[in-house]
Amino acid sequence: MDNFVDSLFEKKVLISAGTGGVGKTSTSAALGILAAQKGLNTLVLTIDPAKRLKTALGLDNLNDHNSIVEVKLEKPTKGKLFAGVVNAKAVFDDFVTEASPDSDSAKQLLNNLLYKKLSMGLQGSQEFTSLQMFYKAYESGDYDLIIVDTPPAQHALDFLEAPERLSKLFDEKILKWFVSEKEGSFGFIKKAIRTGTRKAFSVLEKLTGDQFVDEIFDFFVSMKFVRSALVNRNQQIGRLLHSKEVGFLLITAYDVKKLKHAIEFNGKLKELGFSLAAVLVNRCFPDEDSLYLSSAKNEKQQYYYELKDYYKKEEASIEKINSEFPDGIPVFKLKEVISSTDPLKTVEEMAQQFPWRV
Amino acid sequence: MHYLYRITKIGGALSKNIHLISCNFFCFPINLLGKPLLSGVGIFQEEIFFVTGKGGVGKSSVAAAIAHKLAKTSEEVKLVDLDQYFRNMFGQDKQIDFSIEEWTGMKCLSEYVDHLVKLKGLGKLFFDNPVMSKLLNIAPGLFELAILGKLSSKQRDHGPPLNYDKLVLDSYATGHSLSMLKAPFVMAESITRGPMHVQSQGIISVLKSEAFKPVVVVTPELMAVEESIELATEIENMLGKKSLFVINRIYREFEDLPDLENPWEKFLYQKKNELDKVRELLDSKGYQYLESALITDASSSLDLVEKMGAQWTIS
Repeated sequence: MDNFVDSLFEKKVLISAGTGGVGKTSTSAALGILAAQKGLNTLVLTIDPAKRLKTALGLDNLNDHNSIVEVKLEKPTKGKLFAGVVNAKAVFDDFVTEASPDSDSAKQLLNNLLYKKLSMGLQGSQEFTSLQMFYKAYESGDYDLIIVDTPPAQHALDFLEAPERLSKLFDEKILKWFVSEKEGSFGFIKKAIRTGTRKAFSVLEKLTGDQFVDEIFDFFVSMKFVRSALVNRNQQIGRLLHSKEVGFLLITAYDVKKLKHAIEFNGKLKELGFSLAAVLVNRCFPDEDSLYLSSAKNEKQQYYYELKDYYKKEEASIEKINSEFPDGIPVFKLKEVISSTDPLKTVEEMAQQFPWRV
Repeated sequence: MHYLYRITKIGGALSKNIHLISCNFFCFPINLLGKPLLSGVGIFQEEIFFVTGKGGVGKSSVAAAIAHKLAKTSEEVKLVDLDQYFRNMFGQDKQIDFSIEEWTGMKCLSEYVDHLVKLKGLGKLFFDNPVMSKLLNIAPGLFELAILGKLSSKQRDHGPPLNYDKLVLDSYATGHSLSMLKAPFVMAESITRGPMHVQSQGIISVLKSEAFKPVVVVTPELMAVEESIELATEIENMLGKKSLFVINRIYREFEDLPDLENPWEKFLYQKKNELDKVRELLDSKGYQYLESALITDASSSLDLVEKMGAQWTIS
């Protein structure tokens, strides 16, 4: 366990995954502080940081073209710490502009109604943009370590599956169908498929109206220019994610349901050939009897025991998690920080809990 | 602000149990203080409850507690699950008095398509078509609309029949819930004619009506509550109504002065102060709220929702 953090920091990229509400962003920031203390130039990429953490990290005044800032900590660190927020819309727009052959075809897509929704709210687009931003940061070579905080998701798995899902959506055959249908040239697709699809579209039109269907056509037709760039980038990202330079951190909370998701996640990681670097169990009960117990046997002390019992009941689940990770993957518990309500101080205190000192 | 405690005896045998007494500690905020939020104000009068909140605040437990509470006075209560969260959860509890339904965007959409096209096989053709299945996955907001469409079908009298007296939707976490509520607005604005426009308008009118109530679950942390108020404000701007807040997982409050040298007492004291600030903030913004203590002694899922709901007195 002593070398736990050292071995983590041998990676070039750490990806914090986990379901919503488990403290992914705080944990990522805490690790970032540690890495900077150790002398690594570190970038922490966050998706949707809580407001006060955002303020604390100095991320309030970011704009579309300046999405990464250096974090000023009270105690100076050997390495520099940078933080960035993924602006899904801006990243997607840049990607489209770069991938399009000319500004007209870029505009055509950027102005499409479905695209506007897609780049902000579609399933998988947030995941794609955060992967895209981290890939660019990785390619730049500016950082020794990049810690990527994944988007809030019901299931941690969403993040891993998103790029492929997005690639599949823009399947070449499908795009060709839209283009040929739009241009009235039916050379590519077999007649049977065309008839079936047309029938399906008549149902869609009945359901939604012709205007909606028109928007969809325009979207797919203008998507043809960026399709190959999108698929290529997804492949590059996929290769990097599978390399030894990348480690996954599974962040979970002291909650049976969340721990169950964690076990599922580990199975999926293995199946997909990714490597899990560590499991971090957040918000454990800060049971330090020596610190909290006083000689007075009052109701507050009683309440301490009551809560401790409550958390102990879940301890069994933690043990189960331990046994589910037999390959020497460290499971590390982080205690809930109760001494401070200041977000940056809380994160700094979390960093102190890792079994590693400067 | 001041708070009083009441320890209620719960019968001889049980009152010896420290956990049960402590649980009763938390009954105070509503019935003892007669806070304006509940006295004389009808709460849970609506038909549809849309429960959301930041991840990890106990949103699903609160949704189930509301469903269980409503089932005490209403005939048919449905708890709608979008994440298979409740699957197997109440398995052993035969006395469960509400029904749980799992909805997905795809399921809601296919029910609707089948209902609308009537012609057997055409619906299947629609969903099996490779181009269409890709498209359904990419067309933004379609699944969200399908869910809201089903949710509001009873009031709109449109779509497959859905019978209930009260419906509680355990919705997605904040961001996704907000984009779900926005979906009919965006659609109605950008698609200006045709069925998509008409149905989106219909959904909006139900969301704005007296039948629909957004519920925002928070934990007593000021920072998180501030963010949730931003969400509630956005909902209010869209729907013209205030969300009901539920403050969940409240640590026990102690009135006597703390020994600040003791970190545990200091922690409880800080928590209590923070809770008071949360209450003040919600009061100042004019929100109604329910309080729910951290239940440490639940013996089952049903017991948990029973204990959560027991903290709320509803007139």
